[in-house]
Amino acid sequence: MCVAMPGKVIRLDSGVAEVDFSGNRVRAQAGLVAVKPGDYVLVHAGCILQVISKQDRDSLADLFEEIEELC
Amino acid sequence: MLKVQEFLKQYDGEPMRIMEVCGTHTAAISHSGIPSVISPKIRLISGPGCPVCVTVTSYIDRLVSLSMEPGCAVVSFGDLLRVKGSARSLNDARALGGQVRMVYSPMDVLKLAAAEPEKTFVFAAVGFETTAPVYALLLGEAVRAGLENIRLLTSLKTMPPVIDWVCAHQGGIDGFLAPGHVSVITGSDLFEPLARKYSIPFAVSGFEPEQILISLYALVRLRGRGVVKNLYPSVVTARGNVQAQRLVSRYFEPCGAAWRGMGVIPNSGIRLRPEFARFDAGSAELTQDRGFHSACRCGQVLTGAISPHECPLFGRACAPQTPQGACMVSTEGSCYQYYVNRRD
Ligand code: SF4
Repeated sequence: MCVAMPGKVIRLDSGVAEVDFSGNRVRAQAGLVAVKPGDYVLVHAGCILQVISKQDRDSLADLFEEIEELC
Repeated sequence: MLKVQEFLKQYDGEPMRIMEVCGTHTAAISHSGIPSVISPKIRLISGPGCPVCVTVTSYIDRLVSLSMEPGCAVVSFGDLLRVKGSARSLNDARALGGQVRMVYSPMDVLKLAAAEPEKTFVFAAVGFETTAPVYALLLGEAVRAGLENIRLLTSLKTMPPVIDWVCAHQGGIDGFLAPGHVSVITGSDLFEPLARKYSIPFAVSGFEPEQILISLYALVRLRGRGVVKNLYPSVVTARGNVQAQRLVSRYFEPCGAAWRGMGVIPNSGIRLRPEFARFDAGSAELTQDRGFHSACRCGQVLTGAISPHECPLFGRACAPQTPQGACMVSTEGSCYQYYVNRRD
């Protein structure tokens, strides 16, 4: 039921978004979070769960540093 | 990243058992072959995070009987159709004339209900914190559109109580890969009390192999410490999607829930609030859990007590074409994933 990969919002029409997953386009409800065209989003069971803030926040080097600081 | 891979490969400390709770993680770990590139002293075990797998037989039985009722149609995600109840699956029911429709999103039921107002459409509402907001959206739309012919048969579950159950009853787990998509909704803070209670680290992880590896690295380094580390910060925040949480509590309230192989765990599920009971298709008291095949050991697989290989039916009587239990049916199920990816 989960699509682990992010998709990109192409257009928005009365609360329904068209989301592109590497060329594969699906329609997804946008009622759980505010989205706009161009946003990268996480989709589950036909609904957008969250907007991906900035992919570079998941930079592995930064995460590694954070873990080292904790240990 | 090389440092992380080397560390995990060379690890020669105390043996560790790390549970991935979410079915999507189970699938990602199996596809990527991660178990074969880390030290055998780090054992990855699958947990109770596949919603189809944890559903009990009486719930399937109720869906089957609803599908046979005149004027009624059951609407479901595809994975659920092949799971056997005590005698039949929804697919079996369909072959016998039962009304069963498969959809990709619960929202699809709105169109079905509008097109055939004389028929009642019952959605098989399974899932965790991730899917509950979608059902809340569906109910909101049904109310707004005045559609009175939609019902939910709920088997909705919440993660912290079952993780607590696994720690208390099963034990022997040294770290959790926290469910990523559940955390998107609930926030990573949800796991803090459990981490502290059992002095076990939790890592909230993405689904790419590198993201999983760095999370495993964190869990090994943090062994014995009751901390939660959010390693998926682009989508997971400490408090989660508050708008979605509010929507869920408008329509649902906590309740005890029955889990396959684990019985009823108090407060581990949600059900419709009394003011929305008219949308319920008889979800209460569906707690019977008599497996279709008496030798199926799904219950133990789901709690990490055994690996799928330890089930006597695995790869023999039970395979994806001939599933004997829910864990072999769902593509997020441990048995299915271990079988198709030849995971040890
Ligand atoms: S291998 Fe099949 S029978 Fe055995 S636990 Fe898994 S699903 Fe059940």
